Amino acid sequence: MKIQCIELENYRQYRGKVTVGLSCDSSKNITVIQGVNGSGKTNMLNAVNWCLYGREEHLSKYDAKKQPIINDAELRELPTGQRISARVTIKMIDEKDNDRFYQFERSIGAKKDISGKIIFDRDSEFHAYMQIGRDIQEIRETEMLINRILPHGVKSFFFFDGERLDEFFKEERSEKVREAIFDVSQLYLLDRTIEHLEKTVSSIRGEVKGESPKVDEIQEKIKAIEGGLESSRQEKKEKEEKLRNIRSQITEIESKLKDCSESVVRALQCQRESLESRLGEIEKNIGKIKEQITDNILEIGPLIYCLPAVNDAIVQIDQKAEKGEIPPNIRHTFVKELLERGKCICGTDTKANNEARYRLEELLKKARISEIYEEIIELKYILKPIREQVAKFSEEQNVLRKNISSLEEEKNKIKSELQEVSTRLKGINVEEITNLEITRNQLRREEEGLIRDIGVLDQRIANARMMLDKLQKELNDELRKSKKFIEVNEKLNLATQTLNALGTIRQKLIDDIRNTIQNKTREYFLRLIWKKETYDTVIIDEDYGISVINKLGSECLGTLSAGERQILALSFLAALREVSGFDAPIIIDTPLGRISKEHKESIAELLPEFLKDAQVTLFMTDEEYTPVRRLLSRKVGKEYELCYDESRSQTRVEPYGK
Amino acid sequence: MATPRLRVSKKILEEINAQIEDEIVREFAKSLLQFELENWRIEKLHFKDFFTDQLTIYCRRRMQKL
Repeated sequence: MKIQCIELENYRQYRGKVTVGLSCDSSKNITVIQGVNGSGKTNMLNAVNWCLYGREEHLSKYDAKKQPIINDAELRELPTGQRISARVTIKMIDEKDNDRFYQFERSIGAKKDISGKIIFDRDSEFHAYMQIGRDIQEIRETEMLINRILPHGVKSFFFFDGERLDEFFKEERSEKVREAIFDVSQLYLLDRTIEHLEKTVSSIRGEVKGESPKVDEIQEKIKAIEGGLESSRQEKKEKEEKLRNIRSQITEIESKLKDCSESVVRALQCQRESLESRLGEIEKNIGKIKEQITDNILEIGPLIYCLPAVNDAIVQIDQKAEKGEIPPNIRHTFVKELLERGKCICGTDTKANNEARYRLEELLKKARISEIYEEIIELKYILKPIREQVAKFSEEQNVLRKNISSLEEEKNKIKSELQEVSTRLKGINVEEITNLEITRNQLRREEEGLIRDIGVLDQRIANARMMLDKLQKELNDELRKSKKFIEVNEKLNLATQTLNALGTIRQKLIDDIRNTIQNKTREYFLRLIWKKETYDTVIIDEDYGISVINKLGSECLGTLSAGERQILALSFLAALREVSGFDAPIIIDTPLGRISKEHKESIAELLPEFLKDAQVTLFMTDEEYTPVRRLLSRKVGKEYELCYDESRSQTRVEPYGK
Repeated sequence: MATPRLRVSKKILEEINAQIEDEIVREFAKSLLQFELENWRIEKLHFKDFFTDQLTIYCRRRMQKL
């Protein structure tokens, strides 16, 4: 999907009608729109967002509060009683669907009344058109069409402000990564289908009431568990929502503290951030060691129980060897063969019940051990390492426990340092700061409580599911006994099979997508980052926490510079785009804004490669574009310059360098 | 006025084709996902009638096959 052109009419500083054609050439897939700060780059990104989604998400605080969408000079010069409107039109083509044409149009109007007061329309108007055959038809389900091209939840990974990218991994990062992965891969769709199919199964089951006391009894149990399951799910949803709210309130408070005019407050907040990042790292490491201890117990535990038997077997084998019973002088099979043949090797007849036969039979008893001799010897070599393994086990466990206690010690130290930071913040003689800190601490306590509650609910849901599976099998067995319920039983079977399959697919997709995004992010990050000897890998764990590991094996996301975090975010977004399957265009405002001069080049060189199949539009300042123009030139299809004329409150779009 | 058709992600469809051997289960799962996708924005979706009808259709198809 490519944007052919963006038309702006009286939209913010774009006075009159301005048309910007974007490059639709696959080999030169980049369009660069260059302009000084304030010339209208971010507002062109806003125009795209506003047109398609009805919201301008990249407005500065000033614009959001003061400036109307309609060009202010046009509004000023509007004659009394007249109307004017701002309009943004986006024309797109879908190359993968025979160049099918789409057009989206959003406008908003205003009128100057007799007193000279401007009255704005309450809502904007939106129209979408699609090519069907040779005709262009207006689309009724506009939201559905937009969702097909680029759903609202995913758009921030396609249209974004490069300067704000480093914030992506600062706060609530695991929640953001999780949301991004779920959004781009339509995993919510699978969740909703599973939830609805489960409810349908439950209502079908209700149809078979009264068949037999046993069926009724199982039904009652299922109903009770389902009721509990539903309320647990609902409770979990509510708690998750509350948790999200609390986290965003905490983020807001912390950013207020960080932006505070008192330098001591700013310093304390920065200190807290770095302490909390270290605390998170320690807790992660403690978790990993605990897992290792459990794994060791599971592996060695059964061997510990067997140890007396193992020791006894080794003693017995050694004793037999001492007595000379192993290895045996003569093989059991050989003596047995002589007896069966009835003739000794010396020629003596052994058929009759004579002395020779008696001797051979005695020899056979002694040689019996030879049959399993090889296994006994082998066993000795298996048993001895087991004994050593058990001896080593307690040593290893002690080392691991010691590691935990030293980490716990450090954790407690950090916790008391955090407490100290909080006490100092509360003690600052500014009422607002004290109140913010008190509220923050209350919110943190609530957050901890909610995390615990959600964990308990998860366990409760898992147990209920297990019980339901068991009862469903019992019910199916009962229903199978009655011909009357053949169809109902079949329906339940089909639904259960589908539910199981969708559950498996969901889990597989979650794992696959997370792994693919992790591998791609790692690949891109390590190629883009300039400190190649510092960083080793990028990991996205099962809780969607993202970690950057340095060559010494330590987590260092918290210590990345703003530019490095921006590179990590760019890598992650490129990976998400690739995995998402959405063929939407990419628009980046100030992509190299925070990147230092010498590293802009490597990004300019590699980014087009990562985004090679997409139409890319870059809004750049002169400082960003000039150092990389030569490197980008082979991929740039169109170049523009935004020229702002303050006297006319107007931005013109000119070919670059004109 | 025309209505566009939404598509379930290629990855999900590929996974369904690879993981579900039974054709009836496969098609049934796809029909439910398509329905959910087309009604994505509806908060309180009346899904039961559609799900029950689909279940009946695919179940009868399966019984006929047997």
